[in-house]
Amino acid sequence: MADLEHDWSWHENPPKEDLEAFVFVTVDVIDSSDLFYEDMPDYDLLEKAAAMNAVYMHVIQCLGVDPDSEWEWNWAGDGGVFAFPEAKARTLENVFQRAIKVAELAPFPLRDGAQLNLQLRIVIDRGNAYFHVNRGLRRSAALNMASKLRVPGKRTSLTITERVRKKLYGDDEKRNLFKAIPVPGHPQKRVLGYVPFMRAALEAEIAAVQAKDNAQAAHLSYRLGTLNLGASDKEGAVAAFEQAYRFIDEIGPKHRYYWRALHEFYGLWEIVARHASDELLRKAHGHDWLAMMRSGFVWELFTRKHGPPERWRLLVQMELIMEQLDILAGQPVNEPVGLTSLEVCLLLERVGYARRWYGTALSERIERIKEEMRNDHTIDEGCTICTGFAASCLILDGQREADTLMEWLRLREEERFCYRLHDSFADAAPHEHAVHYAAAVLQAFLDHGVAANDLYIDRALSVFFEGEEFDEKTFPPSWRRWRNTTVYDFSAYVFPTFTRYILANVEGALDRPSALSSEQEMLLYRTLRSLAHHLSEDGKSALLQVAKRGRVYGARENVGSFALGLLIGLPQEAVDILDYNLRRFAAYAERERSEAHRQRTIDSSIDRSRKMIEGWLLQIECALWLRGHKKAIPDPVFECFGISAVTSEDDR
Amino acid sequence: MTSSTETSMWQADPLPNKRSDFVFLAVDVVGHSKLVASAKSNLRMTQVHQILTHVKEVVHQTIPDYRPTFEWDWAGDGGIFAFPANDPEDPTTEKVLDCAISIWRGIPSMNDSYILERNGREPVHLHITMGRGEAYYVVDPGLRRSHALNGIMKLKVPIRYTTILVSAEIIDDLPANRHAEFIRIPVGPEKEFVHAHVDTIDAALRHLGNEHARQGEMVESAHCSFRVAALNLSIGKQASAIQALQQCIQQMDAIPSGLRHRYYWHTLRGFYAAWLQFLTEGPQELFAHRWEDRRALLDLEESLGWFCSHARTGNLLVHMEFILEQLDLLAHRFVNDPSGLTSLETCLLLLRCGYSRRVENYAIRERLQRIEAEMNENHSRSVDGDCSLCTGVAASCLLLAGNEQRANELLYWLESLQSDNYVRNGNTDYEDTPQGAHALHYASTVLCAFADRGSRVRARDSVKDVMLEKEWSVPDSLPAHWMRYRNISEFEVCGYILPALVRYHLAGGVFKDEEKRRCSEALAGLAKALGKESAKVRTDETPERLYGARENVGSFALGLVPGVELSAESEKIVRHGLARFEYRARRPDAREATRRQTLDSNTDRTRKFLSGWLLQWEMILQAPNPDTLPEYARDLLKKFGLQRP
Repeated sequence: MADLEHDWSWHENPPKEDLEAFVFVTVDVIDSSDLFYEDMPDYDLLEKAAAMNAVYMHVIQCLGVDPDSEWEWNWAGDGGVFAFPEAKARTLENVFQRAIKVAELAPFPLRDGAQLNLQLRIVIDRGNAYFHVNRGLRRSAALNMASKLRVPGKRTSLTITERVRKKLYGDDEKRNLFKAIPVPGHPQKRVLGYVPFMRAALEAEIAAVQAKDNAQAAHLSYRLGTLNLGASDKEGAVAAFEQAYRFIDEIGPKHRYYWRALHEFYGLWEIVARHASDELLRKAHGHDWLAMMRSGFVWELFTRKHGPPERWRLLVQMELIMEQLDILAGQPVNEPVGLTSLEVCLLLERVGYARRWYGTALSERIERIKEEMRNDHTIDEGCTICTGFAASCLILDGQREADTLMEWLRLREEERFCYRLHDSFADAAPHEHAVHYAAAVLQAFLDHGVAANDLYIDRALSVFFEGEEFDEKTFPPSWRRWRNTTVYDFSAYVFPTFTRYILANVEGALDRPSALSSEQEMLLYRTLRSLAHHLSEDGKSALLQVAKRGRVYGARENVGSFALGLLIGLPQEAVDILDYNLRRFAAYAERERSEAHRQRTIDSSIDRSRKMIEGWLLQIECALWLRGHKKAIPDPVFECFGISAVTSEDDR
Repeated sequence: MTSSTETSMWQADPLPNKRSDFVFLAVDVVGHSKLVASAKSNLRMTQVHQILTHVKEVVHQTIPDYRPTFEWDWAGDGGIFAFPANDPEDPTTEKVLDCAISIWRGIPSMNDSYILERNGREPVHLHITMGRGEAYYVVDPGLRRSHALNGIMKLKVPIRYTTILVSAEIIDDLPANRHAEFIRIPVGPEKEFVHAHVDTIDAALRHLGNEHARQGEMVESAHCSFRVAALNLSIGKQASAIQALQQCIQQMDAIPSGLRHRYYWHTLRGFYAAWLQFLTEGPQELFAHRWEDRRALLDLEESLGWFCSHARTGNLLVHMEFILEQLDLLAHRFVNDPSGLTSLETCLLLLRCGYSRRVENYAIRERLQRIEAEMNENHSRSVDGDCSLCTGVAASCLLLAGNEQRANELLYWLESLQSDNYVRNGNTDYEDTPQGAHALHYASTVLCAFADRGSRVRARDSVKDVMLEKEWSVPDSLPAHWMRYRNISEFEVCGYILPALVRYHLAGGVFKDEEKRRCSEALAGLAKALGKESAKVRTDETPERLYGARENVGSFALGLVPGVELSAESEKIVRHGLARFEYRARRPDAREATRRQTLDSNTDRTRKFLSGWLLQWEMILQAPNPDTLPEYARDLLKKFGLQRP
């Protein structure tokens, strides 16, 4: 495309009512409504008004039009619409070039020496319009499309439609300039973001969060890396993945996150960025990396060259997990359900999801916790399981309100941390709740800090280890009492918490976990075996063949429970069950599916999808811990994730 | 219509570059984007232009003493008008409100033949919103700004009929005698409360109900009439509420008997009749008040006292109001979650309760559109990669939504699965299982779909035969041929199959004596399995507390089919389940935050609870001879407040 034509003049509008093709550009100040508030002081109002006027002057100057020109269809204080007849050749090119200039809005200096960094949402579309000399009577479907488009993000963006790209560049995808952005609620379903601005936005966002939260900064750096790689900027991609790697290294405490999984994931990406051929990168149409990794021969060639090839399974699987997490980070994380949405929120935080980058649902869910706390300093009217999860969410978000919840949780010691003040539905007394309630509390204590809560961690642990006798293939009486959910649901709370407990205690240690006594480990081993037995019996009663007993949903939901087996020993009874599920996950990750299918959760239940994702992540986390400590990795785990004693460090 | 400032009813324009008070009036054509997007031809575009121009002219003409300076913006489909309001003595807010009401009242005349001819006989409607506040006033309208204006631009009721919404500042500025014209309603994605002009919402709901009635969708129409009744109750208009409820019942009665089984017909009709009875015979002194929170009204001592002598009415009202509150939550967002089966099942539950899909931006409609999109991906025969479980639910959804053509496409495919016992899952995404190696609950939704269809009796009976034709070897156990290949719990399998058999009965299906005996055995087996599970986990005998029991309250409704026995154990479980439900339903005092969340932390479980209770009520209310019902069911009809055993 030619450079900006300084002596360019726009084609004039029709003299009277007519149907004509136009190029539309809409400009909006992001979150402008936050600038103006009720009863704001005069100086503030005048200053903000001046800032908005400056935006207007900047926009018209960049577009090369006078104030109130015939091409200005509307300007409403914080943004407006400009339309240029397309009858003149190169009109679209000029709009596009000038829109880029519009995005370069200088900060507005405030009286107190500070600067107001206004961000702009710019959209370009083209199409027919009904032109009328009276501006208010002009109309166009393309214009409506542009006006209503809200791409996620709070930083300056330039978005175009596919018909604009096609007119500008024909069949050339221009991967270095545009990245597809799904907009499910919009008629277009998919629009194109202008990569240089997306890059700048990510860089600014990383700069904003890095001082506060390395997990988020690492996650955003990974997004920046894939963006750069998609735009054929390998150097930029390598730098971004290195940055992700660096941020993840600096995370502390690491046990709050899927630290090893993320560390490995970013490392593998860095290798791709360094060594992928252009031919391979071209397989990622529209920056679809799963498409590249499922592309067959060229990908295989790459994985063999940077082998062992099986290690690359993990990259595909983690990308699949990210795709699923993107779905959860949309609507589900802030649904008006209690615990499920809290659990989704915590899962996203443990992966380092940026709170406001993909929309505001995640940050809104965290705000909801604070809102609910205002009544009685607990969540769900005094429930330890919900309050435990909520506390973990606040802790990972660095919110000081977590301390209030922690105080309340500590006070529940007398009820063995298994407490729900109002269980109106089950008609249970406040203390009549099973020990999975205590598991959530133990998890919150761990997230809050092992050293700071050592006393309470011991007390929460003691709930599970009361020294009772129990038969093989069953659970201790104190675990069975008051359970009203299935044994699978119960287990999916208890066992992953112990995995977290061990990982939290061994952070920094080099040898085998010594967090639990051998008696405690033995009890966990036996109960894990009981879980496997339950699953096996369930499968048997469904007349499933032995090899297929892992099909039971309870098994899928407890892949994370069996991760504990990687640390304390996996009972033989669990091997086939785990093997079945990990094989299915591996096969699922490799398989192509339609666009519509990829926009749905892996399971028809949001809660089960969450459990499955957590299970895989916890398996990966534990397998990497084993690798780090040069321990044997069970066959099913190696075969699924390709995690072996060979590390990726050498390649980096 | 213009006039000089001196004689105008409006205050003078403020000086530029100053802060001034304004009352804002915004009008916006409902569905404008769709209107313009429909303009594929030049002729159509011209028509759209003519329509929108006409709208603008009508709005201008309706504002008395109109001055061009009022119009701050007009952008094709609507505009913003600002009326100077610096003089606190001058009732500008009230005058602008009267303008807004005039615009609303003028909608029928605005939709004259000129509009209708150009818009395919469809009338045009407006979102009308009002706000009040300061603005920084400059000569160039494009550079004016106001916090109040930003606020009102985001307000929209999801109904495509004309409504008026106003901000809290408007209410504060109106004389007290006009406050009664408004109610608070939740709008927008966060369900924030705003003030809506009652008459406009009332008219919009009536329009919507009429639209459904015209299409023969009488349950939806009755649902709208109930909303009208509730609206009138919320402003203390008892007579109007009664009138709307009478209409509700007429609409329910207008549903052909052959279609009633698709819905919770007896329950909904009973509920509407219960409200009517309460409003006409109940403690009259209560109804002159405004009852925005109907559950709070039901919880008053006077109401509770009256329910003691009108148990059936009291129980129905208390239970159903709680259910509706929960269904409202599901209808708002969950129904279009990015999940597969759960959101489909939620959609079907809402449709069976008459929730309207003819509402702008409404999730039910979008979920239905997703079914069709998915069908197109699956050779127009199925959804979810040839899954009979999902396809059965999808077929029922389309039937209830009146899309018979697409429903039939799915039913043809389902019918072809006879040789596989109607069990099929071609979606081997996560499983490596042969397509037919799934448990029999995959056939349960097929049974419901054929039951919903009504006319495919042979296919319907064929699916039922698959479930009940075999003898099961162990008495009081769950049938092995139901459970074979299951990968969900026994309780979940029962939670699909047993309610499907209830629906078969409701659709007029007749069980043979042998089949009734098997149904009785299955129920006994379920109770026994729950007892066994309970014994594992607690020191006392309370299987009713298990989630598996709560999720199967609807399954035990099969025990209300004449000739099917409900064991004492089963009855205890149901009674407890319903009693605890009632306890929840009787807690309107629970905090606002809790009431705005689903009753269980899991959406799917919430849906199962709600449909279970509804199915129990449906079976109880349709019983030809209530005296033959089990004790708990008789208690629900005769004693207010079900006691646990």
